Amino acid sequence: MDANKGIDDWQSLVNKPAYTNDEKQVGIVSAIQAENLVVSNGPITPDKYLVPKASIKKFDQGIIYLNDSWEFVKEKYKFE
Amino acid sequence: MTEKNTEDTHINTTSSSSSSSSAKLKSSYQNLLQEAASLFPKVDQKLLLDIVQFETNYDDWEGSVLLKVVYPAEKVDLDYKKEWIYKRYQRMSSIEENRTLRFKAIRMYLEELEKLLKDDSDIEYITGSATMTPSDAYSA
Repeated sequence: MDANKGIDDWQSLVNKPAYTNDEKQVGIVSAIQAENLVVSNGPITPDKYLVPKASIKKFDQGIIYLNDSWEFVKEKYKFE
Repeated sequence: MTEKNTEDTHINTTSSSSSSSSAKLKSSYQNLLQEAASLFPKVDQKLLLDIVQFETNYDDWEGSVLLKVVYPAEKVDLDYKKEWIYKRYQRMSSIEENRTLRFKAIRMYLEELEKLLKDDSDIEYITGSATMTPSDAYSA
């Protein structure tokens, strides 16, 4: 698979859910940065995660699948 | 009949012209967003555009911004960064999630944001919110 995981338009990932490799939902993509996705979870004071584009395993039928586990995502990517 | 045709033509022209203006405006906005993303790739776009809006529309805007500066997890000494921020802005920041420094700044104009990013290449991402009126240093 190529570096872009077959994703031509990164903006199309906005508002799509992201899941870890152990099937936990991290949240919904709220913004696209040069090297990361900003993923938010929660309605009022959302938890936010800075997920590297490189950690995307695939984007299939509107769902983003990550290479990482929920524990890893919580520990390494959460920033707010 | 001729009168009706003229009227139809007028409506179509107006509609087409209006649609063209909308398309042009949307295209210009998309170009602005793309340029903002390429010039400030590490900054939250909403924060960036809010700062631009306040700064350009209100001459007396004090640059009041709640800033959240995100560093790579476990790769930087956050206490050192906290001190560095204090020396630079005289604001004590709090640490969130072991990688984010949160503080309320004033005079955080676009140029200052650019300098901050230039002076600290460790910064991974900057987010937060710009406010019209200054509030105290420790409010959200």
